[in-house]
Amino acid sequence: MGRGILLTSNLPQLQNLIKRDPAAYKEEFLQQWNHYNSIRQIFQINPDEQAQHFRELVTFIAQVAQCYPKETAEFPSHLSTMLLENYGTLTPDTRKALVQNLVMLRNKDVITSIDLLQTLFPLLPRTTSSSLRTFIRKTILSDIRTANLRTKNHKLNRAVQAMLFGMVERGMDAEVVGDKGKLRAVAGKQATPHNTGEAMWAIVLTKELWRKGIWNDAKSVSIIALGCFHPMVKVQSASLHFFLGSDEETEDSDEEEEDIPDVKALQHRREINKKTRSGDKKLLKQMKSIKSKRKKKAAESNTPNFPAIQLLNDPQTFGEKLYDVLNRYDKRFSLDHKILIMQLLSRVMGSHKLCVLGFYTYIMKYLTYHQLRIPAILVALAQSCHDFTPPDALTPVVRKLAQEFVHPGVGSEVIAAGLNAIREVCRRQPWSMEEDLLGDLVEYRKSRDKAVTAAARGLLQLFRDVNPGMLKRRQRGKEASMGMASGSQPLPFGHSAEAAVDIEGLVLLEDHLQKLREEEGAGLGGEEDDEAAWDGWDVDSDSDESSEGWIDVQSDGDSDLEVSDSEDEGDKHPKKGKGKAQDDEENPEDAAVAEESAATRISSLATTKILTPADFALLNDLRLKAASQAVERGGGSAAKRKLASLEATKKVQAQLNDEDVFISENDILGPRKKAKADYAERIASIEKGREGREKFGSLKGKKNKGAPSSSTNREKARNKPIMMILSSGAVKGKKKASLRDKQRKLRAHIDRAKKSHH
Amino acid sequence: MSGSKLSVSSVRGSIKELLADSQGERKRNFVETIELQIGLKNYDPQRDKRFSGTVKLPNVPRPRMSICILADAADIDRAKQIDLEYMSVDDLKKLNKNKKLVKKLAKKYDAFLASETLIKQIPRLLGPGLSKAGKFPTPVSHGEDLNSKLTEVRSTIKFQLKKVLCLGVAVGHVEMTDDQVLGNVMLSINFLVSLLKKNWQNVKSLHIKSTMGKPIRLF
Repeated sequence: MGRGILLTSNLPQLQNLIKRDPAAYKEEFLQQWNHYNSIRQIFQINPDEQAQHFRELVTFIAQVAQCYPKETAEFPSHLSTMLLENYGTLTPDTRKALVQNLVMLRNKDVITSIDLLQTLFPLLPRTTSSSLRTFIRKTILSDIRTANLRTKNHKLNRAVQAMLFGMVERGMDAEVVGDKGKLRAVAGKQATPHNTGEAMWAIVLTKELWRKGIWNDAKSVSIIALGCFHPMVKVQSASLHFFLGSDEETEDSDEEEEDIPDVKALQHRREINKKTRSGDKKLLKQMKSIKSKRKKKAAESNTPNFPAIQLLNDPQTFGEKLYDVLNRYDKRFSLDHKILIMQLLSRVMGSHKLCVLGFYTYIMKYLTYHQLRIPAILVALAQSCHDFTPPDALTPVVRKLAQEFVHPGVGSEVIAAGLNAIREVCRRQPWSMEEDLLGDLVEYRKSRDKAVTAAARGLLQLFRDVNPGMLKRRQRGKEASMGMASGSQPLPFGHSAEAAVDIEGLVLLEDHLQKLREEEGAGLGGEEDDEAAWDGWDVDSDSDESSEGWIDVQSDGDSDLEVSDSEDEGDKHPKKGKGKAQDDEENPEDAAVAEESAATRISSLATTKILTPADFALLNDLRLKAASQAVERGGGSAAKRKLASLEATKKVQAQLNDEDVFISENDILGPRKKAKADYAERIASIEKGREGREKFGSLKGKKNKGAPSSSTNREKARNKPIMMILSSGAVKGKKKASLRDKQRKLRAHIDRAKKSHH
Repeated sequence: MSGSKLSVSSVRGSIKELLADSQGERKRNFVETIELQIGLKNYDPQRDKRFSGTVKLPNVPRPRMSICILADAADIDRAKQIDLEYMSVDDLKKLNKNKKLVKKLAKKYDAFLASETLIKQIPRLLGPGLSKAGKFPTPVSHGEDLNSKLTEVRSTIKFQLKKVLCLGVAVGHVEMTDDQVLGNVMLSINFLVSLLKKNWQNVKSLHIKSTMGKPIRLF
């Protein structure tokens, strides 16, 4: 058999040979290449003819393409143009083969990722086969991921992001359709699936890359930010969900829930099983891990997409556009979608401190207690406020809230929600409240419903803290009235808190250090020996503190030396607070007095000494101590809160930072009494309890048998209680029988037995 | 951990070096500003809380900071007396919320004051332009002395972490004595470190630098 015949009919063999020695088989390859070209021409005219052969040829050329880079330079572009231009006419098998070959070319580094992605992206929305779609999607994601594995591949990212941005942008000029009313039905038929699909895929891919942490820059955020204004509601809501961070938790919550074992079951088991020390330890360990898992989950699930919101480019314009969409298409969007937009808008406003004043007039019409999903709307309202929101924009809103929600004609949970919403608004912008209205609202603390009292008290407490002057005299409380008497004023609108003059609690540290100094330098004392005392103290403290281990020895020595140094020069350049510090040193007896005024005094420590890590640790401890003393002395709730926050920061440095910016619906609803279950719920819980257990009742009779049936008379007789049998006629008759009868019976029995044996 | 690396004497040394450098042969034709540059570490600006804090320094670091007062009638008179630039409500209304004009205004001055009576109207009059530039006006009441308010504004510095892990603040200028600079530098360092979640563990580097000079590493 000739070699040529063998080769043309057997492509895999030729492929094998070529890979071993490309140069020698060049002619054979060129023959195949020409063949491929001619078949391609035919194929373009009539795709059904020779499809199988064409696929084989394409696979063959893709396999050996890297051996003949010059000859096959156009091959990848053939494939991609065929895919992009004749996509509709190709058979599914051919499409798949072409895509796979393209990916193979990428894997062999014949084409770049950008080339590949440029072909794949447009295909995504057009494919109808789900397997091909998932294949393409996986390829795209893994390709981008591997490109960014070691370092960020900025070039690729930029190109891909531009492509995605273009995909979203292309559909932007269409008319907004909305998901409500007649228009939707009309539009549903004629909507161009091509454009929406494209934008949707762009959003989906970007979201996925963001979630995996591959992309975390402003560009990807801007793609999705653009998606928020896309005319198709589906694209919009996907983008909104991204910023609200609401879809991530639903995806991975199912996986994690299985991991966490039931605490109650574990404890119960501990009570039943043998009590050993190792068992106790095991339980303790499990509980700890469960707790940490829970905490992690809670932290993960409830964080809105904070970084993405922060990375928004030009948040003000974004917010204004969002409001524009919301306002203009109010009639076309469903309530759920509008709430999504409101939530995002309010978060953006809150975290960037924007003023989109139209939003407050817009939201007014939704503020009725019978509005569906009103808690979510109230949350959005509260989140949108911040300390730069003009109070005159908010006052009507607060008044409307009070009129709609807080009156005797509505349920207690409505009142509670209204009061909580007002409190949250006022917490962010206290000046939106009016004095007489506040007086009325605060009266609700005498209500009989727990949620209402709690809400009203919360409001009262808030105003005790921020602006006690608005409250009636009696309601101000001890701390606040003392504060007012000493002349402290609430911060007027637009004022930021006074610039700090020194570090909080630094005075405490200074006093502490001074006390140490006194104790150790007491023997040397006296103003004349100041220098000597410094030296002596220096040495002492060095040894002493290193043994205590809370101050870094070397730096302390240095800086303290320096303090004395600068004080010498202090005469020439008197500094603020310096004189005071010297006073303290001169009369150490006054330390106690000084401690009284500690809160108002300015410490010079910060300007004369670099605080070491140990100093900061000490400072925290001292502040904690001072705060707990303040609580013991009977300080108000403000003191308690301060203590709690200090303790919290000491325990775990991590905190939920956006807690004060973002609130949840539960904050608005407040604590609620558990409602009585209705019939459906009761039945559901009963059904749930029945799951996986056998029916109650006697196991006798039907259930134990192979074929269920009622019990026979014989069975019943056998199981009859003995006492009943004892007094029955049959048994009694046997006992009372005459001797003759008994003998006869015995005889008969023996005979029968003998007969049966033989 | 590395607190021992930074001592007051070494800071003083670097300040002296910096001052000598910028007042010696490389003296410029303007008063150079001294800047404190901070690099942070172990901090994820996307996850962790972004801190911000303002502190008033003992010595005015930027005496030539340009300030404008958005004034009502009474404050206009006071501003005229001390040659402070001012804008009246009518001037503001002329801007007509035009973004470009507001931006231009925000660019023209380093800081703004506003009469207490006016402050509520600022967001309505000017829109978000000023707060976007981080120059929302500081309110001043009729009772306060304008001059002292000006020095207060001029000596107040703000630490604000943005998207990147480095910050820079002006802490002085080269015509101050080294003690004055030292006081400012130390207070700013201490204050900044107290703002950080893990104090010194979050600090990667500290530099001081005059406008045209070389950066000098403190830490």
